[in-house]
Amino acid sequence: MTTHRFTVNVPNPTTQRASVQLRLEPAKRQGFSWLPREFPKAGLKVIAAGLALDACAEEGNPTLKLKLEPFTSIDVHAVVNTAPSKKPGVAGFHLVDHRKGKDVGGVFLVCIDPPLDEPVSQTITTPNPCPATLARNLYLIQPGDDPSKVSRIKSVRPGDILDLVAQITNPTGKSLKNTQVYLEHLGVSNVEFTPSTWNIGTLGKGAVFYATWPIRITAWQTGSFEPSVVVLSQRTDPVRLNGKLSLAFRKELGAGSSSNH
Amino acid sequence: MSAKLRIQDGNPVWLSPSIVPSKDIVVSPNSSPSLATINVNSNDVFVYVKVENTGTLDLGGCTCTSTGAWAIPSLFQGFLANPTATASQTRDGATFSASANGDSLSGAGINFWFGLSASGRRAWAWSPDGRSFAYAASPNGPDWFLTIVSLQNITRSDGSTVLKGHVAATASGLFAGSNPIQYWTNANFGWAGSKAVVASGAYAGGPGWTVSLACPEAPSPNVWENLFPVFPGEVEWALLVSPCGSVVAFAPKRLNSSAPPQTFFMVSTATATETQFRKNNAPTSISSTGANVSMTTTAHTANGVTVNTGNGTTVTVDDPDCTLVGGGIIIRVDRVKASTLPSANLGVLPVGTAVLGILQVGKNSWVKVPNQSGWANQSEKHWCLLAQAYTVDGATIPRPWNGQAANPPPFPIINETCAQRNIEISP
Repeated sequence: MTTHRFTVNVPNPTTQRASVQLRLEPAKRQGFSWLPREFPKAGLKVIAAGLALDACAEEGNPTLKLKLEPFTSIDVHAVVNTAPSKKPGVAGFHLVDHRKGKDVGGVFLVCIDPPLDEPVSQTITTPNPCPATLARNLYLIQPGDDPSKVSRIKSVRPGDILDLVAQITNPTGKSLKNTQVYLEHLGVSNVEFTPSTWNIGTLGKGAVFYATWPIRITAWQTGSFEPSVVVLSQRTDPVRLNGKLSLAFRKELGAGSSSNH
Repeated sequence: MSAKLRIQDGNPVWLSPSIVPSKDIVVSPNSSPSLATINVNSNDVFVYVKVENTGTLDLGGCTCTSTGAWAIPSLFQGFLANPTATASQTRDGATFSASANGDSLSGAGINFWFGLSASGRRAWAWSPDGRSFAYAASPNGPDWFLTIVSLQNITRSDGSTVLKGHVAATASGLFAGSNPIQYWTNANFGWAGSKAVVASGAYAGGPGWTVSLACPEAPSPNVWENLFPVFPGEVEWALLVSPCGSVVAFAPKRLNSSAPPQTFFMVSTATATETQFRKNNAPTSISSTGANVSMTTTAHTANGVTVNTGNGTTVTVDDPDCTLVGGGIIIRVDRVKASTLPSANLGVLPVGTAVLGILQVGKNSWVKVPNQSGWANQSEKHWCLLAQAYTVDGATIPRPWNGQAANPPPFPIINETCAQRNIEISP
């Protein structure tokens, strides 16, 4: 037998005393359709499932009634015992929070045996991608500088404002109509940027448009991060163009620097 | 027209299918990712959030649809040159009254007193869009003081607001002239679109032509001024206003082939500063080739403006009105330790934000939100992702919730722009 334990907080964030009725409801099979593709197909045989206030409880009750004082909370423990399985299997329960005659919230609890390995990523393509690409990797310039001229920013400090440049080009033999481009994010960096969209319009074959977005360095940034630029054109699917940008300390100067990769 | 966004709730509500943590490399925002398991050391899990435009207003695009030839400023129509003359005109909910006792502007929420014009010389006009009123007066005759009063609340380009009935911009100057015949008239003032008033005339301090551009939507100082050299019979300047009024172009007309070369330039009405012509967003310059200069917007895109440089030669440049459109939609994701109520806000941690540039009515898009602070689970496996969508301007669709506030209010799960999803973060 395998015991699956879950700890869930049950709060009362109001000014009134609250009566709470908790119950465990088995999840329906179709409720797992959105789970990872590696998700096991077989169901686990559930021997017992219950709720308890004791963290070490071996089993519990299907329902649990609580009284909560204003602005307090309590941890409850869901214990699910499943039979050994030769194949990987799954079982799921909704822990439903019922107050004042209606279901007001809940938590989805999933039991998997053996534990699920982290899946590897896959590339999800699209049938008709916008063919626009980056003509070169992303780079930074000083505000107001010509974005068609690649410059090397020597020193970056918190509070600096720079322009991120993405050279958008059309490598195909046909013009792209109604081309637009926007910056989706700057990866794991916490550099701030000003959201905006460029209406490029018709992007002729081989033409280059120099899209820019002001960014502000909010703290010392080290390492590289991967901004995501989205480009759209008529009768194609929008696509993400991923570039890489590095911000690194210059030890000899005690200041930061950026470089383009 | 209503602006609405939706992040679809789940059934049950704590399992929104529109919030998906995933490791997948999803090429297109049209495609949906598959769910990843997360552990505390995961560094390649993004949160994808599907946002739908369920309103009747496209979001993030150019809001101005006007195209065509760039227009010359429209001269002020109201003019008096006698201290005892009177006038009364009403338009757009405001009445302008001129009398021997002083001039004023009144209406619902408007009670503005311009005072006395000692010389009796006054000129005035409503902006073409009816959102502002401009008034010029002169104490002595050749001098002038311009006041622009807002007839509605006006949001400046820096986000500040000019309240209805308040002064949006002022300017002053001195034109050449030594007697009333030579003093200025209404022909010296004009609305350049609805976002700038131009005052131009002969320079009082010597040869030259002086131009002031007062821009009510620009932050202070919101007046651009310049003194132009005069080349009689050789160069004249045409002021041309873009169809959406974001810039005023100064187009030099070369009246003969021996005229000194001149280049076109523009002034932004959002900043009251000069701005460059651009081609594919790289700076470019335009030289005048003749007298018949004109500019025409064919599309609100790069290379969307055709310039006749004067002799029939044309070049294209980026449309300054809408090649770049600021704004868009912010998608913000936070996480809290899972509790049975999403409103509990048990230690809100930010995950990250991303931007959806444009979203047309009836369309949807998966937005990729990076995790900027890791997946530490604080010894608790069960967490809840809280996603919200709102427009960058904070006004069209306001931010529904601030989880980083000192005492955040309950997450408004009932709001269409908010949704939640339980996740597990394994040790």
